[in-house]
Amino acid sequence: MILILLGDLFWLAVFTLSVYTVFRILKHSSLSDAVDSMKKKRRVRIAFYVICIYFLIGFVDQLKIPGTGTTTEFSPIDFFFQTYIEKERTYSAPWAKRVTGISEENLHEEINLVKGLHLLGTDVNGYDVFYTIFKGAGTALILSFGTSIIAFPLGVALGILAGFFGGWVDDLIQWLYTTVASIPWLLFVIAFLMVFGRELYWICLAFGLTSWVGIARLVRGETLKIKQLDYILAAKATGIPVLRILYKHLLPNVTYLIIINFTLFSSNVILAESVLTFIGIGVQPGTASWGVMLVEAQQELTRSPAIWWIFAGGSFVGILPLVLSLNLFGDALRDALDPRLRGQN
Amino acid sequence: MSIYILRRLLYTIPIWFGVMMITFLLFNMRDPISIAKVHMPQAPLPTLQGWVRANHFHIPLFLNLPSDAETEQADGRVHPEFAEKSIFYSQFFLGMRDMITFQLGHDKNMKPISESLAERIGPSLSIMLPSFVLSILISVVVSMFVAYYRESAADVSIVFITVMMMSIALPVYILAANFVFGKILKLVPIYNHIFLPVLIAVFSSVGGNIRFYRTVFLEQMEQDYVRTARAKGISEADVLFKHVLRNSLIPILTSVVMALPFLITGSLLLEQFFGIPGMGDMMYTAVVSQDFQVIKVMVYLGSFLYMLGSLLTDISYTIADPRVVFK
Repeated sequence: MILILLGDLFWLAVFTLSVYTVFRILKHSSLSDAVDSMKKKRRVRIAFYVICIYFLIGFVDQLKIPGTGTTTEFSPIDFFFQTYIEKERTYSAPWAKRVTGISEENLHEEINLVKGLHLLGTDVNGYDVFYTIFKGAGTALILSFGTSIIAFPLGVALGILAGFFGGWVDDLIQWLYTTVASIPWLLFVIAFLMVFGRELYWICLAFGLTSWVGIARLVRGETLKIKQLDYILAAKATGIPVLRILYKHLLPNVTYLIIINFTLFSSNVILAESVLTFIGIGVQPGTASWGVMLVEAQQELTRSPAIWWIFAGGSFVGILPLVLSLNLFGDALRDALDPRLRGQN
Repeated sequence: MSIYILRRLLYTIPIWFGVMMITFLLFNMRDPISIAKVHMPQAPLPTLQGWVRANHFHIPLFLNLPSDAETEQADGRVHPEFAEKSIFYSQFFLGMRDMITFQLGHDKNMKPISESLAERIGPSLSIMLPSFVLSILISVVVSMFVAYYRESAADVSIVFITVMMMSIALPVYILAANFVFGKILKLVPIYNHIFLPVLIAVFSSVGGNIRFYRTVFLEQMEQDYVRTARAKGISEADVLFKHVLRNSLIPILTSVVMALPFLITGSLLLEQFFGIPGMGDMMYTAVVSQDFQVIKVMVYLGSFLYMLGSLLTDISYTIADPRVVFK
């Protein structure tokens, strides 16, 4: 009970903090032109709203309510689907009147009739496919935020240190990230998950440990540029402590790189999750995720008649809109903020 | 230039060392008994300890120091096995020796890994090479077209399509292609066939390539030499394919080389799904059967290939463009 409450508080804090961060970065004076130019493009606006909707669903799924009876806890998403959406007996196609795979003579039996309306059909247990997609948004959100929480502090801190201090610090950090970059990241993630296990936090850690490299590289380059500007020299000359210079004068000017990278990260992580799960090393089978939907679709597509709607739902309602929006938004942001970075991955 | 190449070679050594360090940390820091358990789940403890000794997991991790608790016997004296060995008699240095000399060890069934690699590289290449070449050819042609007609409707829509292609997960491509060709069109015998894996590999990689090449071409087309060439009256095809393409080769070549080791992982899914006995399939089997030695070798070889690739591209830069200087 208390644990559930603490979990809710934690996620509410994460939610407020991330909304606050995004708005603060977007409102930062150096970005106002870029934000204005992006607001004018309809495609970018739509992408932004899609991202917001998916992540909002994901967040709502993290807020747990103490359950009654057999379930110890459930989220508002669970509550909504268990209360308002009818559960069927087994597979049923989108908009179908009857469940799938019944023989001719049983066609009119009442047990085979579909009780509710399911826009995307139902899965093997009779749950609406939207239910799994919504739960999958929760997993996608945990993965992309978990990865960012590990990768950003690491990448920004090391990047700033390398760029600002130079010398052997720079050499050491450059050596570190060149080494990490030399290991193909999917191979590293596979090896890491084999050694440590398949829990979500290990997946986040594995992604985080590989993807700080790109941020560190960008932040280092930006720091090298900024540290030669007059205001940093002035700050140094007036005797402001180094840590304060880093925190007050450098950090705010590299934060925009965080947003660009977050969108790229999230899209990569979501795609990689489906690949890893497909190999059998991603999230565990019990977890609801878009990757697991694809794994199950592998058999369902070969059935006769083919169960195609879970595959279609997972890939074209789950993964595609979110990843596409993240990519479009990230591209637009990158173009608006820093045309030189265009096309780099 | 030879000084440059020498420095670049020397620069590779610490990175090579770092790669070996990371693979070591990842695979050897676990409890040896738990490693043995993965190989023999039902074996009793003495058998497990025997396996640990046979595979040298009982020797010190980093340095063979007399104070190391693992090397001490009950009476407090150093075990003779360790006492007569040098300080470098440790898992790390033995492992490093094996990696530098490419002694890849055995897999779970005691088959030499180098042997399986030699068997499996052929099938892997038979998919990788055609898809790689096709993907680059298509990407170069399409992105050249798109860059030439930049800002036009064709450009905008093709760029959007490429982003869309990048946003589709590889399993989705595989399942969809398998479903469409196998179940609906009933066209190809799906398994052990090269056509479908190559098609999927091309489709899934072409989006990112086109987007990247387009920006490279756009950058080159804005250069002065293009205007000069046009002013001289050189035909448009010659401007594009002789001047622009040639000058764009360096970034394109880099991206090609950098993508090479990722082909192992890229074909992982394809080979597993279509039953092709290549290196990706070998890795998949290792993941499923928890064969850590094979995964370790794959991580090491993948990283080594990447290092080698970036070394070769950097060196070829200096040959192609003498102005490039290594800092």
